[in-house]
Amino acid sequence: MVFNTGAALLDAIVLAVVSKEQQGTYGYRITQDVRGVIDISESTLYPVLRRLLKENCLESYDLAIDGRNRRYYRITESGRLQLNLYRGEWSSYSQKISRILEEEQG
Amino acid sequence: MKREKFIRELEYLLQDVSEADKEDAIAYYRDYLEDAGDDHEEEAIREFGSPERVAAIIRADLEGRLDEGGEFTENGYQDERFRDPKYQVAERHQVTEGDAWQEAEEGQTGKGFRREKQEKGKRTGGVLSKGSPGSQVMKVILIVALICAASPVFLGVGGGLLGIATGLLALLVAAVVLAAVMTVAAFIGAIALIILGAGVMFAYPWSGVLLIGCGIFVMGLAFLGVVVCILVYGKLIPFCICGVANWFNRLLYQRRGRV
Repeated sequence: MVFNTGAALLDAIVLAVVSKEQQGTYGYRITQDVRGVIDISESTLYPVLRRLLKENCLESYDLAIDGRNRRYYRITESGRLQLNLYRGEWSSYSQKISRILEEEQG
Repeated sequence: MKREKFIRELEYLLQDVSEADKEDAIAYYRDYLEDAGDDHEEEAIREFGSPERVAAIIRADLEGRLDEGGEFTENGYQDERFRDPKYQVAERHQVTEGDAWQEAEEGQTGKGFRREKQEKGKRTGGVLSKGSPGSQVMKVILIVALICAASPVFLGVGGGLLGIATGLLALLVAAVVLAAVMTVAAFIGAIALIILGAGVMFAYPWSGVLLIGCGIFVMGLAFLGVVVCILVYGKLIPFCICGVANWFNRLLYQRRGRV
């Protein structure tokens, strides 16, 4: 891969990953899921999650697991709206890019 | 345990961050490492780079500066500001076996570390800022201007200090010379007194005895002067000369070393 992932695209990927879990998911798993798609370092996601929380796209809650509290993240309504916006944008963007790149010469 | 060590250092590095933000970040990273489990804990810590790097990212984010220089590339989050040797980012696929964090701490750059010397950032208050060549030139110009502006003061103060130093040196030389002269004078005086005393002895015995006594006393003073002279001329002066010679030597060597 030689293409960079912008902050907006990373937001979109994280929102998509979190939205798949109805009950919410936690930092380590989000990171691993995102890393299944794009190659990001393990220290990347904290600022991203923090920003999404601040923008009310995500909400967090603590759940007792193995005698400790684990922080879970869940997508909010406005997060879902934002994700839909990203989906629409991405669809048109990626189609255009695909069209120009995959056009056969001739 | 590695995890505890990492968290402790991170806590230490985030001391100046507000309590809520600090606890939030610490909780996230503690959570993360605990969820990584014993199997992946070391790998995760290695990829964090170092507590310094993680702390710098957290702080940059809190101050709203993360978006200014960061970029999420296919190789992960890249931020030139976090890429000086102190914040080495280990690239996942290239990291060799071993403890990357420790390696980074020791300043060694292993196979898996990027090193771009010109990108060495300067750390200002826990934050990285790029020292561009332009700012270096500006710094030199400012220093020169400062020296020019302050030169009257330097000259005045320097002149005064030079005068005082010269005065003290003259005093020292005078004292040294005086010590020798006094010693010789005391010797001559003592001999003269003793001879005079011996001469007067026959006419006025008591006066003679007094004069000889005084002569012996002065002779004692003269011997004291000899001791002082030996100390001054034998030890102090060679010491001064050696000191000055050393100083000049060092000056010359430094000059040569710089060329």
